[in-house]
Amino acid sequence: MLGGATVVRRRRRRRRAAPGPLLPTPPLPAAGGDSPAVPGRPPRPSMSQGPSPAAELPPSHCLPGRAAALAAAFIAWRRGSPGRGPALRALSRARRQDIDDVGHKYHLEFVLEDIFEKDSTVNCTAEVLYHLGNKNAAPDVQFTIEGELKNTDEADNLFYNRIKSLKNELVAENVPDSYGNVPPEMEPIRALAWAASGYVIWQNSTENTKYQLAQIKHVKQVKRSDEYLEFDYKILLHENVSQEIIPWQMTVLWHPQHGTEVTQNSRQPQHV
Amino acid sequence: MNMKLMIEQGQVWLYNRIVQMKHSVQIYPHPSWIICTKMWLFLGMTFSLGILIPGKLSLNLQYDGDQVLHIVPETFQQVQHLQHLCSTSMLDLWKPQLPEDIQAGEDLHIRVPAPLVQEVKDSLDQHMISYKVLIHDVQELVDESMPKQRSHRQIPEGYNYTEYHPMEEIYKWMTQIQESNSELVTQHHLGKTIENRTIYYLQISQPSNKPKKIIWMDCGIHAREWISPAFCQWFVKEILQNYKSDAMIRRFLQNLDLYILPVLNVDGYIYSWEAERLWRKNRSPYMNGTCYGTDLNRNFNSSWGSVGVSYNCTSEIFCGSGPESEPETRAVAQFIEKKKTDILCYLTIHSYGQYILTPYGSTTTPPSNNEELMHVAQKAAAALMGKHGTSYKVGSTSSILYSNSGSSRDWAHMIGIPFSYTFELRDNGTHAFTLPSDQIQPTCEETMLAVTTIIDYVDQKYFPGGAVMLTSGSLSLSLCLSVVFTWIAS
Repeated sequence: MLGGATVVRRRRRRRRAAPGPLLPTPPLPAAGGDSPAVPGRPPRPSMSQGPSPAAELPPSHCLPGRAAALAAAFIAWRRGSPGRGPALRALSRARRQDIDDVGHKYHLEFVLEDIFEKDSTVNCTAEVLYHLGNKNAAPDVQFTIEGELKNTDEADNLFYNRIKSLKNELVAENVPDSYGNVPPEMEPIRALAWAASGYVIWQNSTENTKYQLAQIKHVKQVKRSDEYLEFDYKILLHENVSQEIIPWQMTVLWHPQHGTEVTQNSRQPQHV
Repeated sequence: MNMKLMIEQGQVWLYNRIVQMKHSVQIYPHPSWIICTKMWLFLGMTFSLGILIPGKLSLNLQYDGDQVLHIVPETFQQVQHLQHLCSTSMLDLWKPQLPEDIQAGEDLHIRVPAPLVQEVKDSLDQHMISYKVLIHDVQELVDESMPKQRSHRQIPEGYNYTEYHPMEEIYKWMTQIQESNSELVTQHHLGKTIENRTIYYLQISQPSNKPKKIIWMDCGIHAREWISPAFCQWFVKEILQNYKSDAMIRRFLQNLDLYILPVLNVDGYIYSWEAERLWRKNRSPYMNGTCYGTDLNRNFNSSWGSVGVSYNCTSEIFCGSGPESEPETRAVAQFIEKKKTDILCYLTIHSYGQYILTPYGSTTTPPSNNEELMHVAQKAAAALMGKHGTSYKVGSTSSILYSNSGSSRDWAHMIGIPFSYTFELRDNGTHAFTLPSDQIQPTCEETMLAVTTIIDYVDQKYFPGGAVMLTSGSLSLSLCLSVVFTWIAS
């Protein structure tokens, strides 16, 4: 299920978010020196047949920022576990290619940290391709992690055994709570939600969205007779452009050797 | 039966239970609460915050309809079922302390949250477990024994700036800050919210006969961004603690008055404490009260309604029925409009994302003083990073964040306030709006450096060398006088 740098093609059709408000894509910095935000950058090449050469973008620009958030979410799904929650710390470099009739491809260099250990960082590169044609297709993401992520076998196995040995199914609500607190015993549950929400975020992202897991409203373990752990989560996603808080349900399977799988997920109605 | 004693025992038990911090997932105590908070404060806080009833009741400070049941299990099967119930249904075990200690033939007291009462009773009936209702409504008893649940959370001498405070406490804090620093601080009425609450700002002003210019900073325009009001309070505290000893603060207070609005969206802030933690907008009713809230930061008269908004009340970026349709917006706008010739700097504090944002959001056309704005913002970000290594992105809202119209910062700049910035504080998304309170101090410390860098720059620019800037009026007067004296002398 999990591998090294993965090329992930379009998956099954995923739920689209409801149409948003008037949100044009902000233009990229203009060629030349008239945009003070990009002094000294090479001019943006004109569109031609086939993919344009990759143009440098300021890492602070919102478009590469959204692509980086998406890449980080994807990596969180592929590499996250109850003992590890990869999160975007900073985007160091970004380039963009406009590929005629295909889409926009971002080349990114960024730093990841761990949600529980801020000092544990690692450098990454990724390519994110947003498809022009089929808006319902998830973007393609490829990534490479430079070096090793910290080993979490012990923490993962501890969590696995703890949950397997629970007499009664685990149930919890509001993680973190209103004050941002996560009790130590809930940290792995949160990390697992972080990983699983990475999948949901990847499936639902476009160039005009930037999702973040805001809170776990409710989680309930579902006992299984096989070796997998199963949890039913109700989470809140924060979408940064529309500012919406979107409730989402996801059924998550996890096993220390097989990683995280979201077997079912659906957007929930927002209450007014 | 002594109900009051039972409540008290329940409180003591609560404290003991929390200190134990066993494997149970029902309890969410945080270690820092135990370390940092006095026991009596903590007891009252946990009881009144109801942290043992998460879910939709966790933000509700009431125990209305909660019942306490008395059960004496007879068989081992019954014990097992009760243990199962306690763990899965988030019930609050008063006696014994732990599900493991439930025994046949021994008293069992459990508090059942109101929404679960029927379900739990049905389950007990199904398993032929008999029970008695010991307390029919826990809230009634709580009211009798603790009439003012939050009264012990007074603002004592040591106001805790490293925790989040509800609006009631912020109001008391403002009064107290003025009372204990009356030589420098005055509290003023800015206006009223849609729910008729008062919006206050604090004016920090060194007494002087020199005319002063103004720095304005507002916090809490978006309800869920709790770190924002926390920063405004921290800022005031820092200024008042250090204005005598810190040379930079002393210097700029000679020339500048600081106007600080700790919570602009009072109704929304209260709502985020009591009902919905992630609420953003104000509490203006629309569509016959079927929909609530305008995004105040889309409601100002700066290209209002043109881009990055919704005209639908159900949206989080609903711009209102017109520019300045909301009383909160009008209160701020009318005041700033009146004082605009004296305001040099407009700062508005938000979260999250770690940005210092320059105008504009409604257009990519840069403002006239863009180079200087960017330069100062970058200086501020560098100063901020120097403290704890936190990196902030700097740029215009429209290029590094998204398009939006009707923002307060755009409006401030458009009416002529030269240094207008939006801050988006910590973090990057790991905790998003629910930034843990152990990050309040480092966030405020680093942000303080950024804000004082900006104020210091403005001070040095308009009051160079410590002298008062000559206005054109005073300049022509002194010219006239020197001509007159020269003529008299000749």
